[in-house]
Amino acid sequence: MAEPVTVSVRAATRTHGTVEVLEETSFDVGPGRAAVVVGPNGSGKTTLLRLVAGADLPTRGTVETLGAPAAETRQTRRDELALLLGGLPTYPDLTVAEHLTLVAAAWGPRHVLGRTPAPGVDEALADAGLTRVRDQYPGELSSGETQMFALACTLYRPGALVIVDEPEQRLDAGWRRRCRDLLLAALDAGRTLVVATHDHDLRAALTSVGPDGQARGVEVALAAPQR
Amino acid sequence: MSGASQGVPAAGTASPLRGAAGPAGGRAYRAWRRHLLRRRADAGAEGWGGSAYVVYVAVLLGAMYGSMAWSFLASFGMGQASAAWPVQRLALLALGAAAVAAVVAVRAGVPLWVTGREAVHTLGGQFRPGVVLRGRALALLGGTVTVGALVTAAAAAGGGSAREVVLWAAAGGLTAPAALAVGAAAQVAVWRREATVLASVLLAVGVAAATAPRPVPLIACARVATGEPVPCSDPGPGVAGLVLAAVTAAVSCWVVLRTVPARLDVDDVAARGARFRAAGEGLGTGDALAVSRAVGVRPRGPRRVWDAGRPLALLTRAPVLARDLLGLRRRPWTTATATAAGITGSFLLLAVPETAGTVVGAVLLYVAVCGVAGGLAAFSRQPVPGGLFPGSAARVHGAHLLAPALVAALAIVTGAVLAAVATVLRDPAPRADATLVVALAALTVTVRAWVLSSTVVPAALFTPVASPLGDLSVVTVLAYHLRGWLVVSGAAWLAATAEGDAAWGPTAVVAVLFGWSAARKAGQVRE
Repeated sequence: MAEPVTVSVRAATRTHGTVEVLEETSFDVGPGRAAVVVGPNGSGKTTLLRLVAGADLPTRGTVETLGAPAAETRQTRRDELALLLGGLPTYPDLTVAEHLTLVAAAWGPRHVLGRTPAPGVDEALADAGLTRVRDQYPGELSSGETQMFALACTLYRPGALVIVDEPEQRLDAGWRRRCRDLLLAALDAGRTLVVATHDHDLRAALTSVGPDGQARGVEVALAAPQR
Repeated sequence: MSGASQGVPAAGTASPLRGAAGPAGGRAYRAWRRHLLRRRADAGAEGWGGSAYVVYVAVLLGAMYGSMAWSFLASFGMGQASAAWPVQRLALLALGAAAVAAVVAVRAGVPLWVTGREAVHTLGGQFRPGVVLRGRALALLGGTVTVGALVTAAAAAGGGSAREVVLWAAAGGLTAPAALAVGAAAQVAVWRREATVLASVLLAVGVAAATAPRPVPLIACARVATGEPVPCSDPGPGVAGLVLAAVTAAVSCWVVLRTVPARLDVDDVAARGARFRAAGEGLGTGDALAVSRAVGVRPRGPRRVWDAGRPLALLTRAPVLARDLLGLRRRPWTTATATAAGITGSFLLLAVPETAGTVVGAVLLYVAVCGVAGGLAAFSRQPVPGGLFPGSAARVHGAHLLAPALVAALAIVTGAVLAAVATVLRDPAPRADATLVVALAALTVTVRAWVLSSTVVPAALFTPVASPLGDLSVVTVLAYHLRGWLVVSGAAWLAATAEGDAAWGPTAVVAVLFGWSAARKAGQVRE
């Protein structure tokens, strides 16, 4: 019996005008596994993530998520997608803690992260190292805190498939370690991750051997663009 | 940023600039500024050519519209039987309005403006703020005196003799700097509240003076030549009035030239100016949210309203509405002002059913909806609107409409009560159509949602539109930015002037169409 597949990319390319921004790419990711997209700048990492998120369509090939074309999944199964591609959908007049409280209240009994019930707001903030700024507004955070807040909020929102673009941006060594821990916890809770990154440690962590003795994820290496 | 790196002579070195004598004196600043302007001119950006063009446009506009403005103001001339607003009434009202405008303009880093580069050098101790500001303060005072004298002279020219016109011009010119002084004082943080109160008081006095009944009935005089009865001319401001105006001018000059520059936070003023320019450039390039981003209101009040351990009932049942109500609570002044505007608008709609009342009432309701639709505006700015919530973006969008709708409903109910009281107190009773008022309120909510659903000007509107007056694409872009106001006022005008009593029907249909369009756009994938 074939293994179930959460994300299936088959010979997908994307061309803008005369420039092929994503060369032919194929990979599969099962539930509870990660796809770590790596490659130099301009190799098409963000483009590939947008295709997987259903925010863009491939020029050739197919991209399917949760058993349907990615664009259709984005329309019909929006609840299953947790995205951090451009920025976090925040409200300037809510504090950091209130954003998480709002997420918890809005999802109610469905607030389950993978196989585990969602932690409380204070616990989630502590895991992300954001307790100190729990009562700050988003506009009052530093750039690193903003990035960590965005990641924490995205992972606090339920969704079987989590798509994150370069979560290590603007984070120092300590924050990067927390970032790795958060993503590993989501992975081990049974959520599927598609992550683009330049961070070697994060790449190694997400493709390491998991508690079940199998590799947590696969690496999708994109070729350098011709300049 | 060092001065040397900008081509400015460092302290203690031989200056290549003529006249740069003192380390922080006026000559040094003027030489620095001349040098800066020369460099800009050499670079071809905002040099003397730009200044000459500004002067050319100012002269051209003055020549074109100055005479029209003079004739318009002269129609209010004192002593004319047809004019119920003689110059002494207009002057107080104009002074109050100018003071309020000057206080509002503080957000844009004016009336006393400072550039970012000047702020850097001033904070670095190279120049005193007074040295930087003295020249432009003097220019502002001169301009204010000139405009005040011209406006007052024009208003007085309608019915007074040459001597009276000159006296009124003198009084107006001497009083006008008071508005500038109030605005300049509002630029100093510790005086902002007092200046705002003073401006409001001046405006209130002006409105009271303008609308109060004339204390002395006009005494008819007669023309010597024909014997035709004409209204008697006003005796003019009088010696006491002129002395009072002179004292006002002296105090204003002292405030603008000495007191404010010594206490001004030049960094803050420069930042406000930069934000205003950025907002203007954003609007010009098609970003409809540029202004709200530049002048965003800082949330106030307690930061732990929702206790995670004891979630509020509303938060669990209607989280988006609970969020929006919390947002309203954290913007108390905006919420209070918007609510007051909504109540006033509803009262006008219900108690003054004439066309003007309907249009102004609808516009005030729209002001109220704009003020309380902060949650909807934040939703529209999000990269993935409603991405944190379950369900479709259109559903979250609809939930964000609840708070403005509730405030509009509250305003209508309160306005209806006030209108009922007014009905008891006055005769004849108003003939307002309550259904039309509800339809107009719904229209204001859905139009606001429609406006916020598209925050970028379509590129096609920037296409040049040739006309005998030149390129009209600027007008179309401006109309796009003002489309909400235009739709609401236009719909209200059409409803007020429509024949029959069923004007609410088309208004409700239009409201539904705008709501449907906004929801459809909200549901589209934007990222």
